[in-house]
Amino acid sequence: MDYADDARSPAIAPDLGRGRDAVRHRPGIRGAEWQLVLPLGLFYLLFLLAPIGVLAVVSLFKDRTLSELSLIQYATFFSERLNYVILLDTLRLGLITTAVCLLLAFPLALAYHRVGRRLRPLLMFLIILPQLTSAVVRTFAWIVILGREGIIDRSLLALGLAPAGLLYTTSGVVLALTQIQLPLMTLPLIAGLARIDQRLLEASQSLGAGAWRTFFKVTLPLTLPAIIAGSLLVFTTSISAFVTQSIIGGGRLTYMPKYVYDLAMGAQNWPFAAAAVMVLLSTVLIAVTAFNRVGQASLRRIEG
Amino acid sequence: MMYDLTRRSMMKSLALGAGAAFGARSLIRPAFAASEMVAATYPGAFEESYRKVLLPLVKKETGAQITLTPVLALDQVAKIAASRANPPFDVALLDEGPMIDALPLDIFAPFPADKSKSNGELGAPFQSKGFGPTVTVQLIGIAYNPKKIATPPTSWLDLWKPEFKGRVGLPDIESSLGTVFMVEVAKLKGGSEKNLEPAFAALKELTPSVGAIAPNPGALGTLFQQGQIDIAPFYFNNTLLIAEKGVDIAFTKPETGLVLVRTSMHIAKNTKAPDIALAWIDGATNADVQGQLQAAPYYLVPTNSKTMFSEAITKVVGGGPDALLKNPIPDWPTINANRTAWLKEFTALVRG
Repeated sequence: MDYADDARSPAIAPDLGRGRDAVRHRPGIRGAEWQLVLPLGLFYLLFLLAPIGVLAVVSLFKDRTLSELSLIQYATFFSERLNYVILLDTLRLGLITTAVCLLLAFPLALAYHRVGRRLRPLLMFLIILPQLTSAVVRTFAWIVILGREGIIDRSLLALGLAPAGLLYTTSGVVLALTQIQLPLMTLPLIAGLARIDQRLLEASQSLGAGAWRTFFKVTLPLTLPAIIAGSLLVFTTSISAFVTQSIIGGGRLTYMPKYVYDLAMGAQNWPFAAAAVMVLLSTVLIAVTAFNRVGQASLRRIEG
Repeated sequence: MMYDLTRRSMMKSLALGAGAAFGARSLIRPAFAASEMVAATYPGAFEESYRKVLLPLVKKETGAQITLTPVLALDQVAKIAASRANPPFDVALLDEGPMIDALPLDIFAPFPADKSKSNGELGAPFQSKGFGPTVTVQLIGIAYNPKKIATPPTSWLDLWKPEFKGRVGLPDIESSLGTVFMVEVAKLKGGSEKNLEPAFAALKELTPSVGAIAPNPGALGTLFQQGQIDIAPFYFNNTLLIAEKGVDIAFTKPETGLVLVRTSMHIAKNTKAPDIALAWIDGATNADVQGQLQAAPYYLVPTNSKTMFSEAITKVVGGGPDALLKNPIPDWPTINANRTAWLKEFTALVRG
């Protein structure tokens, strides 16, 4: 176990897993430091907050001529069962994908720290490989793999087994999303593991804890900030992955992004589509905040 | 030194060239007040064919600087609506559904039909009615895999035949294609654009055993290619395009007729170049131009009655421009009024 000597090497991994330092000593933005974030702040203001503001305003109108203010869109959204079902399905898709990514990424991140230095660049390359092609190309490749005449079903048939028929199923969507989002989980975990003081692991083992016990009592709690960071990244990108959700999910499985697209483009019901976006956005913000709170609370428990 | 010389001579010849072009332009085109015009077009076959056939022609006729910009329907409407006083496009190209939705936004100028050279030559349902004329129609019929289905299907209801169980592809109702299919099924079952319930009832029987419900019309082509489906409602031009790429797919006209979706061109309100915009639309509706636009690989079906149909189009329409007019054109204003409700009903139904 030599996580610690590795603190310099994963320069590529974002500085998300800074755990203990961040909790004990939280520096606010003081003095002239705010000027450093000004360009990014302005960018977000113009291209993120302003469009969301426009959507919020559009959602408050009665119809697409935007001539009469009304709360009817929200009243409609909350009075129809279909809207809840789609919203919940979308959140569930995010949760499942996040869980699968976590299960696959943790062993991968551990393996990264255990292989020799020579193998690490190769492993890092393999980890970020899914991010190097466009989401659209990757998604179409999944059609070729998952379809009726695809690699999986043909191989199963050749082996005398029943075809899996994964295209246009939830499992297919989770599979494709996991492949695409996995680096978003693996990279923070690699960074998080690198920050663990290896003496803690040695101490745990010298006090008689086995490998599993050390993992659950030391490694896992100390990588919690990285797990939270990775989970938030995977969760938010999975629930909004319009291309993958619609191409792999097909017309039958509707998640919020496609539902909003259909409402805005097909039905031309801009105010209702905008209201659906605002509800999704609020739900995700609440979920993310709650997740963060839980994570920080358990972190304080470990620290204390 | 060498560089300097080259640059200087380049600048000189550029200046000369620009001057010559400017002089020539002011000489040949006194009839057109403005000298620039931006025409919106859909990306793909529309853009390619207009750039190749229409653009050089109208440039020559007007001497104007014409820019062809590929933009999707809703973006055209949104961008013109956002800048009414100075519209970013002088001509919009829109399908029937989005066009009717755009009317309340009041972004189009009335079409000067009396000044138009070709409007009068168009089939009656394609001529300007206040706003711009129909430049082409998309044909919706049934696409099938001739290797798997020996007898061409004859009715929309053939999709319900037991032998096609698990092989049927359906478009999402979000698209014009999916909406048109539902309307045609409703009509066969005693409904109409006003009452889609019979189609929903029929769909309820079909959905548990369909091969796939495509998230967008383009995905149907992929599904045919992947062998996931063998029969589906589809567009004529899309069918021919993928058939050319070696996919086993053929197109047939149901006995109730091909459904026509009209694609029209409109002059933006407050355009600075109304004359050039008119010349552009006249070009797109010109009999000779439409004769060229109907060729492979564009397959833009002519709306000018004087254009002789190509072999491929004659075959599917079953005759010339007169035969084309016998096909149904859905009532889009009624359809658009109900789309949100239908979208929700369809989404809930196919989720099972």
